[in-house]
Amino acid sequence: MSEAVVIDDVTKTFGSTTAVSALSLAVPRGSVYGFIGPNGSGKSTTLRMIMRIFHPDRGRSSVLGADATGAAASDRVGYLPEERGLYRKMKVYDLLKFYAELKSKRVTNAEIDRWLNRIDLAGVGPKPVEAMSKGMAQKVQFLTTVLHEPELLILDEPFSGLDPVNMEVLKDAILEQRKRGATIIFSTHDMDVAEKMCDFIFMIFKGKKVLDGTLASIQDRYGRDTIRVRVEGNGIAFDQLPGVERVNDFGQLQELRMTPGGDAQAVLAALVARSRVSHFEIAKPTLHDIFVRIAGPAAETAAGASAAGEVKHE
Amino acid sequence: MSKIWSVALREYRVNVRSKGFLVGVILMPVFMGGGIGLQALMEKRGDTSIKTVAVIDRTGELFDSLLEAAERRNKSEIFDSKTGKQKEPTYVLVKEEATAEDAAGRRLALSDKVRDGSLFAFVEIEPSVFEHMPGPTSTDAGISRRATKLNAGGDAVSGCDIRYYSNQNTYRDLPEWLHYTIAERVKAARFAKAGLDPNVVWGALAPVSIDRLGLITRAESGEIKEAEEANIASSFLIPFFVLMLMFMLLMVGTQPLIHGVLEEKMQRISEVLLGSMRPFELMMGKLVGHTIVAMTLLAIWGLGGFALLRYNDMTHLIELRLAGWFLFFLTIAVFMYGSLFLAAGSCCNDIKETQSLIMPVMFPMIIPMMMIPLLIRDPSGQIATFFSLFPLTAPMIMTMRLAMEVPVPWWQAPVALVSCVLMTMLCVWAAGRVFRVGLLMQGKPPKLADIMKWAIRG
Repeated sequence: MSEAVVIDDVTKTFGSTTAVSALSLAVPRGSVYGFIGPNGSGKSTTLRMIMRIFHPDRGRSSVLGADATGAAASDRVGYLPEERGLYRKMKVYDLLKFYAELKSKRVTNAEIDRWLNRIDLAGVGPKPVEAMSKGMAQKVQFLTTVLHEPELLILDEPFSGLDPVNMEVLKDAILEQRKRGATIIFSTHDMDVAEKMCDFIFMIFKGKKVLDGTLASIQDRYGRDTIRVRVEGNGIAFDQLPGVERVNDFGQLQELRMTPGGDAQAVLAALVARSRVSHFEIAKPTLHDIFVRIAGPAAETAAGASAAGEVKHE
Repeated sequence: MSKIWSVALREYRVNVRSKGFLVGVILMPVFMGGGIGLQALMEKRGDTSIKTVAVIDRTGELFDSLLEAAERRNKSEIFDSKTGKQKEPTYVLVKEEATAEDAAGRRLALSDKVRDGSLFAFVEIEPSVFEHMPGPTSTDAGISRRATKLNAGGDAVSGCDIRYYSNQNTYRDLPEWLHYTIAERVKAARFAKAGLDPNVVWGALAPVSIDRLGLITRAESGEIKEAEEANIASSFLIPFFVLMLMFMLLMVGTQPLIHGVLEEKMQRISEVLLGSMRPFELMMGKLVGHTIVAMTLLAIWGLGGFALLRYNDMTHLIELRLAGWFLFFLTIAVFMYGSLFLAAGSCCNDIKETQSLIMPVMFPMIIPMMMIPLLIRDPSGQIATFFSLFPLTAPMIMTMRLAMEVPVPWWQAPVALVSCVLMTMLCVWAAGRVFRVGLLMQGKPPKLADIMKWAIRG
């Protein structure tokens, strides 16, 4: 069994809304799998189905080889929900012990202290949860998912709301789990993090799968159609460039997307004619750009059709 | 199974350390002891106020003797015979002229005086008090008819001999004293008119006494024990106490469940828990934990109560059989009401919403409290029997009936138990399904129809 999670043609509806539609997915063991997609597109629902918190209306899934009908695998899975869930009045020691017991594992205060040290939280053990800052609580919440050394980690937006320092700490802790051999599935809105951390990226939009593969394979599908330029002067220079369908102006840097078959040299020539170019780079689109292309306002209008079309490309 | 235990233990620890539990531990003894103590205190202190009554005496003959009787009472009858301290109020009678004109206006004026507090009450005595003379046929019916009328206090203007007006009709001593005193005078007048010797008549009317006794029992040594005077403890206090005890245990044991679930839902803890265990296991853990909470409370009170009984040498009041039934019904009731509270809690998103759902679940626990007078008066009547077998009210009412002296037919307690067990299974099953859906539901609170749908379809 080389797959940690297999989802096969799964559909989940709530009342009249379809949260997830005919979704299939295979997560190889030992990989880091990133879930991206706009808010409300079905990420959390999919993760909850993997956790057996929701049961799909249709389709089959298996987690760590265990069939969907039982909760047998739950002790081998660690789960960090999108919205944090800690008992505010409980002491960190008691809380962590309780959560570990729910995974059929007993831990001592000394073990907990070792874990707390690793995530820069030494000494908070005897304190109640409500005495901690949001970032600290989030790290404690992360500990609840790894104390029992699970084979599969499911993290729903683990980095949201963390400052850069805490984010580093958490990122290292997650990668440490990967070194141990755990499979990690996490969702994020930070495309930069997804690009850097994930072996595979999976995008879901309006309940349907629109991207699934390695970053390179996804970028290859869009070709080298992106030009990054830096020019001296102001943005007026970018109007009506030949072969450019969209300009994304970051202020200091501009990203130009070429029309299919557009000629980068023609663009450069046109730019040089208008202004002094200090940087010109032909590149693959970033994940951010791909995300916006799929889910941005322009795509929104033709969403149904394009989403279906994208799946066919797979 | 071990996960159920983990949840149960956490629930137990949290709840036993909570303020609610502490308050519960202290509240019951304060309720019971305080109630009795307060009553004793009131008895001791007594009511020593001055109650002024205006008397409109239309007979023109009665006021003076009433005044004399009141003064005699104030001088000698209102003091404690041992301590000599006053324990009853002083009655002051004021004469109102008995003119016939504008009777309604005068009543209103006197009523206003009662309202502003310068009078306690006023009374009208009609000349008709002397009219009813005992004839050969009419005696009993006539007297009882009039007595009924007076007691009912109803018909204000027509028919009655004495009319007592007050805004404190719950205070019975004064009208009873007036009634009695006037009646004495009237009777004396009647005897005189009929040419009877009052002493002979009073002698003939000397009351016949009655003793209310319990039943004859056989002592352990074999000899037959005389019946004891029916004591208020076993016929009223113990059943009442058992019912209160059950009610308090259930309140402390089950009500926190709704808030516990709400906390888990609001803090999004439910999702973490459901990632580790099934909803049903979570619910079971909570119910087991709270059963132990109720048992702990019972043990604390039980030890205290036992010590108290031991001290007063009253341990014979404890019946092991009753204690057994009590534990059975307590456990079942925690599961039954507890599962309903859990289902209710899982449907709420904030404290406000729980308020409206607590009431319907509490209702079956409150019904028995409202039925106390009926249960005491007619413990084996149809209504009492029905509610002691009806599963939602059985835990409280059946235990109370079992604590009473009137025997419960042997089959009824087991039937009540079985009906409770079946109902509890239904509640736990349905609540489990609602719980599963409700826990992860955010936003708009579900309608009752939705909740029913979850319970049925799962």
